[in-house]
Amino acid sequence: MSFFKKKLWLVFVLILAVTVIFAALSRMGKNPLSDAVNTVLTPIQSSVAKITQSLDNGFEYLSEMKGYKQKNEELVRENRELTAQLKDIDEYREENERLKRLLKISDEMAGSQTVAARVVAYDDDNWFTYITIDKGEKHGIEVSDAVVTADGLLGQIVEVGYNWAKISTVINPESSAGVRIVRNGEIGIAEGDVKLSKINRCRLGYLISNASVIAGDILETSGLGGIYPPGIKVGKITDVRKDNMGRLDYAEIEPFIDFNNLYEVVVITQWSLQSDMEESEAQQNVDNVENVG
Amino acid sequence: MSKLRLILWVGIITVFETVLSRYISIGSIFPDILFTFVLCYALSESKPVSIMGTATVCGIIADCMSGRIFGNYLAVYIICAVGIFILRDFIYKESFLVALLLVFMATIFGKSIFYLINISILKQTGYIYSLIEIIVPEAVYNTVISALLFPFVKKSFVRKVGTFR
Repeated sequence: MSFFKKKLWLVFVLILAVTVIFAALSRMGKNPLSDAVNTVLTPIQSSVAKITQSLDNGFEYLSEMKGYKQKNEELVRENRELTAQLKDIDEYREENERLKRLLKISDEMAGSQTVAARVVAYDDDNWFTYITIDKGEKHGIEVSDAVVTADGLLGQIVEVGYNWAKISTVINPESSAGVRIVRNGEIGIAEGDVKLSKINRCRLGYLISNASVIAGDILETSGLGGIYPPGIKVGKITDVRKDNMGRLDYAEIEPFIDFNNLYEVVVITQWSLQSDMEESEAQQNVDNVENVG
Repeated sequence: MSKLRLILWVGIITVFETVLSRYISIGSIFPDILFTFVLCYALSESKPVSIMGTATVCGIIADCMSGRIFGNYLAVYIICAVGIFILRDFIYKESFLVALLLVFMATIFGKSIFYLINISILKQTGYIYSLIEIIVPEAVYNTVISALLFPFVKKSFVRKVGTFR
């Protein structure tokens, strides 16, 4: 075989050695080669992403023009309903503000620091999804920082460079996050699953055998594990699976995040468990006051 | 000039794949365009060192783009590129359909290695499920892309007419 005659096996050995070295470095969350490649590529990806997002919005606008009249009627009807709902919400908001003032709760998590970032690239290999953002070390982002959007939990930082960082989403088969069911406070672990990740879902596992989980249950982070601050909305239960013995096996979670429409995210670079627990306790006190009221 | 063309090809495909992957997925299956390019290049280029070099560079880029342990893609890209290079002497005969078949088979083989390294250890799903639901659809998608990509890659990198192999 001419291939082996040319002693290409030597090249093989060299590549193997280099791979082992970089694999060891990437295990430590810091790969200089990856940093160099991504530092160069991120500004390019960022520019292209801005153009494609603008084009996407343009196409969306054009396609919506077709159903404009019908949509207008729907919107007028919806507007009436929303106006009525808004009135109710205003009342709730006022009540909430009163109770918050009463218990001296701060609107924001005390001691937490966040960095807003733009999504510039996806890496989808049909099993894992990693998202690249345009902020990195120089903005204070570190490995294991939690990442959220306005809709809820997105994932955590797994790799970080000078002006970029990579997020492993909560639906990745290797991901896991401590969660609790808002309805009853029972805790479990939301973990990625190969099959469910194909439909942008993950599973709720590690529940006690007699745990009460029903479809529609809302999940939020429990704060256990120390990566995700407690109280971040994760998703809702869509299906509960039982094993052959009729015991609870796992439940399917539909995250609140729309993975196909991610443009901006927020990285939580610092948070304090103590302040979160205080807030959680304060929220319980609010609930108690409401119940007493 | 050839190296510049190669750098342009790899650069454009990398940016295209990472920024637009959400737009080109079909039924939540994403093609691996960089991998497909490496396979097409291995079918077009006559120098084994160039093939190894390109597979290595593309594998490193793919590893850098992913947030996973370094070396996953590198191993798959090199093994498949070398495999294609060895096999093409026996079965390619400059037939377009055979080229597509080789891309299809290489994707199945390469992604099965990826499954073995990354997915099997998670013990979440069996190989048959992954093969039917993920690997084969991706192989079909990669083959379709290679049908579009291969003529251009061949035109860009074949050195002289008649000295294809």
